[in-house]
Amino acid sequence: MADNHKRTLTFKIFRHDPDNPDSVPHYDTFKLDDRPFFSIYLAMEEIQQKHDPSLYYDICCRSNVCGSCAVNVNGQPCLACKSQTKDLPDTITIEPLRYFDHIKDVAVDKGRWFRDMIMRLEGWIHTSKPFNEKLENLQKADDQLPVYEAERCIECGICIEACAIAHLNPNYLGSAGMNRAYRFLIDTRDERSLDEFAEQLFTGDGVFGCEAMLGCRNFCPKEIPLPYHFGILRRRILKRVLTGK
Amino acid sequence: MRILKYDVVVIGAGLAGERAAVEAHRNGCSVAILSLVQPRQSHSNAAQGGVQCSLDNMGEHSAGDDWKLHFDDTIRGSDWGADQDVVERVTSAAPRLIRELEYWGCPFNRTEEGKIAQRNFGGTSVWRAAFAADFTGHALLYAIDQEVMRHEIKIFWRVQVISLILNGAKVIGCIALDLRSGDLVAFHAKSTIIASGGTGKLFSESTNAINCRGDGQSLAYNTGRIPLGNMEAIQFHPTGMYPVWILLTEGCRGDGGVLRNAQHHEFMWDYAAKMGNLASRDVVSRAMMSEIRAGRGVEGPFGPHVWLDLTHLGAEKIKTRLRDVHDIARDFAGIDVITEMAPVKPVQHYTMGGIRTDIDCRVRGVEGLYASGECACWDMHGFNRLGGNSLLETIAAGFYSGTTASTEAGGRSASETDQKAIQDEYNIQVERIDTLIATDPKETSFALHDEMALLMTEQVGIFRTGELLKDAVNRLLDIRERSNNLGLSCKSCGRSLELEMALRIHGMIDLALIISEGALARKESRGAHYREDFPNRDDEHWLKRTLAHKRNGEYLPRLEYEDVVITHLPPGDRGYGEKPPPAAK
Repeated sequence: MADNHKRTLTFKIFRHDPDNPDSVPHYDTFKLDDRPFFSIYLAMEEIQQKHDPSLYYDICCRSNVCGSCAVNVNGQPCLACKSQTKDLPDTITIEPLRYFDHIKDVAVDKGRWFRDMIMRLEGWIHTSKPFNEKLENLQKADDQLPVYEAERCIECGICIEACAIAHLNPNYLGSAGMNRAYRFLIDTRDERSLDEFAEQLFTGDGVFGCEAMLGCRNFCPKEIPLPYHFGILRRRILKRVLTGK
Repeated sequence: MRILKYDVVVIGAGLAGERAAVEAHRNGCSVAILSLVQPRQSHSNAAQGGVQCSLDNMGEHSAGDDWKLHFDDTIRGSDWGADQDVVERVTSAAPRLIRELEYWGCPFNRTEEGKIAQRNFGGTSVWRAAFAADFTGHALLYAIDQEVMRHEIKIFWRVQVISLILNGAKVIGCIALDLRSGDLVAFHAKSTIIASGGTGKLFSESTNAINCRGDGQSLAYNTGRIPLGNMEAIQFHPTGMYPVWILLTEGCRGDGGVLRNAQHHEFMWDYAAKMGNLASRDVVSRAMMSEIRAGRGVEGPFGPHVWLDLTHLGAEKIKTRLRDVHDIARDFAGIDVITEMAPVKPVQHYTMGGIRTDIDCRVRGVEGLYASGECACWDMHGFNRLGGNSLLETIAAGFYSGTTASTEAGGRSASETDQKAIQDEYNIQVERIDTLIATDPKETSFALHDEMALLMTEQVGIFRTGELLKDAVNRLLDIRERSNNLGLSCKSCGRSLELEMALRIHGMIDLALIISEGALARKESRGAHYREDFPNRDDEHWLKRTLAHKRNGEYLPRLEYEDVVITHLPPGDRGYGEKPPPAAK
């Protein structure tokens, strides 16, 4: 590891400003010395602040909790903050996520997609119970844990980027969408039945779109068991469709 | 000029901002939220360990808990710097406000009975922190944002608010830069709420996100009418993970983790005989730095540190209740906390001070402006905030600021002179940006920032002295002077990180000056503000809040002082069994 830090890294970064008619997509190359705890985020920060102020990228929490900094590194989607150079070869190519609306260089807008997805699934608790300020809803720990597991999604967009079906079908809800639907379906506080998700989920844009290539599982930075959540949804829906229960 | 009209405009889409927006919407107002980042990506996400509220759900561990006990803990934590009427209001509303978040879907951990579970935290007399593993801020933010979505509250993201619009002493909205298109947009509002978060990035070593740059505090200060309260009260969190300065929650110690020095001695009991590892953050941070100064720290390539030991907690507890801590240590430092100790050092974490408001979250000095959350000085935390009280403050201040702002918006109508005020402010901002773009840089905002942030960490940190602070003020004045030579090499208004930083660097240096000047003037030690040359709390002279006012044409603020509101608990011993740290050699 010590020797590794003496190497020089070559960063090839995708550059394009779609709002500027003179801009031509290309790659710029920057050389930086490797160092302990160096990451893709820190490299982009150094390049932008010291070498090329026009570089545009997204970063916020820098600790794998906000999901803003997702990019493709050597062709694989990941969070820039979490991707340390010690795990990468000497030449590192950084590109934006291809699926989402491109803003400039390696920054994209994922917000619109996630807002639309949440609206389609009505991603909030549906209950007829009034709020009781004296006592919370009672929920078993065993019922809370799987909800929390799904709620850990940070909406980074990596599972969508890593999904071939999503790239082919723009209406596909993808793993992020399925995970969100699952989160409400299993929540004992949400009164919606499976049928109420039918329009969104019982279709090729929903659970039947997945062809189990598992890119979502391979790249999720929070290691959420997305295919498992998907599987539970699919099993429940098949049971509903085949047996009527 | 594009003008958008709303009853209430909220600056910031973190917990405080979104909670305020939900409340204003519930009261029938048209509401817009303006955010630097996409919704759900605000720094509230990064709060890990829990939110304080006296639910008393933990049997013997929380027996007898009520708002009064929570109140006492908070005041002792604040070292009597907090306003007691505000703390009473918040601690008594806490159970209702947190249960509401549960009702909205926040997946809190549960007790055997299925109630919201609570864990132990620093500086508290019982187990009081409700939590969702160690991702509580994220869980709360998603729960509130679900309400924002349900009510289809308008949210603009990738926008940076660069000035408030005043008509006389009335705030009538703000000017925002659309960071994507580069267009300026005027928001015309009956009420404006600032909920823009803290100032962590004034320090080179901080747990804060990149966008915690004190934007809201600068907006308010720049009006020249609004005082900032207690800016010298900066919290340093004991367990910033070395050397990347990512937070490892206080819940680590709440759940049984301990701090150890190079000799693996559990040193906290030497400094806080009664509370040990769970003394308040200011006490623990000072103790850690005292160990390091005494040569008992662990030497490393990025300077000395101490250890946070979780190895006795067992894999199951860590993988369920401290799961993100486990992942963060693994991913960012290559440490497996189940079997290895994690290297930690106290680093900047929280800004207790901020935009001074009254108990209903009205900003002092103007009409039509409100502030809530970390950017405000309400003042619930005084000179040291207890862990888990920040999340509570965001929810409570969000609720109260949203309530006040929406109620008072109903009584306001646009004035005929508003249009001119908006146009004037718009023109000022257009010219400001045009000038920056037309000027070639002699100084860059990033280099100035790095210089300032390093200075703040080295000289305005945990141990302060008059000499270091005086020198810091002088050097900051020089940096501030040089910031007038700023220009831009990137000549675009949209999609330019260089412009975004250039628009806020002056404000950041001003805030650094206010912090340093306030710390220099406060000749006592209280909570997180520790003066080695004045090591004792001095209630006779300093049971006061600092108010920093902008002076026309000068970089240094005018400092004023006001009495702290004391209703129930007169100043006394904090109850941690704290021994003063040994003097520096």
